[in-house]
Amino acid sequence: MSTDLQTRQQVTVQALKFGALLGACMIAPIALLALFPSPPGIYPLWDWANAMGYLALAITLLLFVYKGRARVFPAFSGRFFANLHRDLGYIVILLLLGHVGLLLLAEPLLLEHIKPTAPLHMLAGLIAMILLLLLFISSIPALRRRLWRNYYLFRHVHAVVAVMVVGLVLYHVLLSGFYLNSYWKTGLLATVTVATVAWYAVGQYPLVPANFLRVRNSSKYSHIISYGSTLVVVLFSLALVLLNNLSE
Amino acid sequence: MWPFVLAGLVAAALLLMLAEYYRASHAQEQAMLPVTFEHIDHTATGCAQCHHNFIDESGGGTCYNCHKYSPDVIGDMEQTFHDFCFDCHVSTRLEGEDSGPMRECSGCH
Repeated sequence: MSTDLQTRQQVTVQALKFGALLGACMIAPIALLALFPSPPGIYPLWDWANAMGYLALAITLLLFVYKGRARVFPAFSGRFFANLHRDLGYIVILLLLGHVGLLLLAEPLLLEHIKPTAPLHMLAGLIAMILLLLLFISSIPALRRRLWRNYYLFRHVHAVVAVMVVGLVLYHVLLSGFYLNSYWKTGLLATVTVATVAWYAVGQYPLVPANFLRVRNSSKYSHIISYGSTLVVVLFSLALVLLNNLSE
Repeated sequence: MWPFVLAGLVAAALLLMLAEYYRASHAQEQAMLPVTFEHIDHTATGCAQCHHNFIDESGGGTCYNCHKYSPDVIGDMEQTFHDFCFDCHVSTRLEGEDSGPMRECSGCH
């Protein structure tokens, strides 16, 4: 039997808890990179652009976890998680544009790496970016209804392309190296990525306990939680980057 | 969801193979960026570190004779040259000493 949380304070506590959980998951790869042996800083703009790439990977994995079903954090409704999935998807696109845009701004010669003759790991990143943009465009509600008459067909194609993106991004990240400067970091990142996709593939999730607490009309909170936690994490990663560069 | 995950992984692998096939078949046409390299800055490094053909007799002439024109190694040309530089520069920096560019393209090109 569920109990409704109604006071502003109760709802705020739930939202903060969930925001902290999201933020911790997002920052995990960057925290991993900062551990010993921490890579030397190239320069702040370059490093921050790459931090955005790692954040995009972390949130892409979160999209496999929070894909529209309220199973893991039952205080929020199904609609909340549907909104959260959409918001996190938009955030991945923003981070992707930040990753590519800032790197090109920092180093225009990197244009050589988005040509078909670039190293394979860069081509993997390029293909993943194109697929992500296709996922984004084909998921815009107005367009989705026109493109896909059958919702289940949309879901299946969306899932296949999303797995392609994760596979290509993992290849891109692992082979790009530099920040992943030890075997244990490389192994851990690869293991977490594969485990997340495997968990999604198995499709078995913890059951929601019967007597959980519930936030009423929670769907509206997804925007502030997702964008808020991302903003905090992006600023935190900037601080880490500056510290790493200044300490040399 | 296993069938969809497997389909995604297979499709990603096929795309990568296609990209690699295209890349390898066009590698020779790739324009070489001019490189700034001063031997005087690298006297602490053994000659054979880069000029390996002096001791392993794997080829003659300039680096490009093999790395740019031999079909066996041309696919890894960029990676090979970059690894020569990055590995040393990064380890030197990690030892707390001044090093050359570690990643930024315009540092060498």
